[in-house]
Amino acid sequence: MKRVAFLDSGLLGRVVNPGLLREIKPWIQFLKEQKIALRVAEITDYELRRNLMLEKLRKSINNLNKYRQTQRFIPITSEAMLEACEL
Amino acid sequence: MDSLDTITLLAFLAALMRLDNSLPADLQNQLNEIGKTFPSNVSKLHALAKSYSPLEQGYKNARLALQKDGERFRFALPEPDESSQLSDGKIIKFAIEVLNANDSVNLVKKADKESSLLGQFLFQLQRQTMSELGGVPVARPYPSREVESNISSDGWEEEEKSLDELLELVEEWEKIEYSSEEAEAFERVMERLKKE
Repeated sequence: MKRVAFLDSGLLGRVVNPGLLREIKPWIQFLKEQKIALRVAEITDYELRRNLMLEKLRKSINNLNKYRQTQRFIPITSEAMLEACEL
Repeated sequence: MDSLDTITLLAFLAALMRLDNSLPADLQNQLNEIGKTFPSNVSKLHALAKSYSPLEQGYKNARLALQKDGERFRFALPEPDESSQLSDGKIIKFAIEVLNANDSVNLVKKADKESSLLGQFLFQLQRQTMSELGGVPVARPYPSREVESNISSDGWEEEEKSLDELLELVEEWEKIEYSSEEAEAFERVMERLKKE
């Protein structure tokens, strides 16, 4: 089984705004070298997107849209919600 | 609508969002009938919810939470200015659409996933009516079983390709220039995310 890194909304914000926070690229390279998969929960996209929209940060929202097209998201399901209670 | 009708309506919408399947045809028809005379028969939603067991508990829980908290959740949405607020008229318009839909459950769930103000409103409604009931976490669900099955079915090559694509995107994004106002706005975003 592979190891998995989950992005929370703060990290996802850093990934889609590397022009403002430049330390994220070495971290992604590290994940690749260590063979660690990357995932984002749908709720994380929501948390970040909502805040970007409130601040009208169009460039960042465009980046987030591109991120969605290439990366994998974990959908919110009833099963996931119940399992989250146990963590 | 008076405040009780508002609570009934919102609790009903919250309960619909928690259903896994569409309503049975006869119940959907009853809902459509209430929708035709909206808002004069909103109170009938109460009886309707209690008549269908998969809906009943969610409705009761949501109603309790809303009664306890009044309409505070309406003001819990982070709003930078009045123009981005979801008006009562839009909420009522959406409620009418839900009540008159062919598949009310599907419609309300679809709207909940949207990144619009309505989606935010429904998410907030869902969070509010869940968090009051024993602290059910909705902020960051980590569905480990789904992740494990998803990842173990693919080879590492797919994951590596995905990370390479992301690195290319990051290189592209690093060239984007931001104004000082945008940088400040982004700092505010990061501060708010830390608090959430």
